Amino acid sequence: MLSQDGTESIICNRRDSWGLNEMKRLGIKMVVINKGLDPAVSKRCQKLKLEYKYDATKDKLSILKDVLVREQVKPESVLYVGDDTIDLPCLKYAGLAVTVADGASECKKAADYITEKNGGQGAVRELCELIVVAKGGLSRT
Amino acid sequence: MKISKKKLFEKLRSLRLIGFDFDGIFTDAKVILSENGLESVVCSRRDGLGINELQRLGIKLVVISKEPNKIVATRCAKLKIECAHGVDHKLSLFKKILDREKIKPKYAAFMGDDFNDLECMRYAGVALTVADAYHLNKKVSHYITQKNGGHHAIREVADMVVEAREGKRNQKAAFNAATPLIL
Repeated sequence: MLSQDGTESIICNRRDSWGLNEMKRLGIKMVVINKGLDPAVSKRCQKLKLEYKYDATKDKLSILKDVLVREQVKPESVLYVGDDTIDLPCLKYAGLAVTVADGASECKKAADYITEKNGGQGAVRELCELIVVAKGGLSRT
Repeated sequence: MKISKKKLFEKLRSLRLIGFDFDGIFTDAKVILSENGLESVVCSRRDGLGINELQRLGIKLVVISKEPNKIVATRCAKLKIECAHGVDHKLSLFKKILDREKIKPKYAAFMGDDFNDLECMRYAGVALTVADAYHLNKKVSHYITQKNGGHHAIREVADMVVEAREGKRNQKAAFNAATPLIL
């Protein structure tokens, strides 16, 4: 979203927050990766207490690899969610690749799971719920 | 836990207080975030009119929200609704408010769309939710609005309460024009 004074805004979904809190409770490390700094994304991550990694000089996969080395996590224990071609290397590298219903066709091809919801329409929440259920924390019915 | 229209209307006739969650009920749960960190949400002015009608009927309204942003309080101040935001445990506050107002839970309703509203919805005599709510909230609700949150769902509830109390509105007596409208 762009206003006439040039201010850029993003639209997020507050229903995602519950899912993200559950991930923290389960001890799953989360990180948002951008190629360059996006101030609005940075603000959202601050509020949700998510780590935000960006580096305009690196591709997303190198940033992801740095995080994995630091956290001593193997790629097979990593889930990556991305919607565009810039995310493809990360999707292929991670043990579990997820994209959204309105993701790029290349991402859908590479994905192990495609959310029913579009990006920004509760896709993160949908994924978090699945993880909670898989870990035995919540009944779907 | 859906109930018949007749039973629902009986409950609505004796209703004295409605507690609301904010995000997902007054809004579609989305937040617009600018690069300056300013948050915005989209509310329904039709809901505003419904809120006015509920207040005219003497029903106490209160918003209980987990969201720390003061945007919740800003909207509530305009609508003249009591508001508590940044609340981590909604039920204990809801109970306190009912005690203070000397209202029994069975004469109270709670409308929420997500996990942290479930306790309040189970505690209140009337549980209300929106069409796009979390599945467990739908399960415990006596009534699920046809509308999604932020798309005039509160108005739908207000219209129903007015109908339960005063019968179907005829065009002549559409609104009590004596009270100034704050939308």
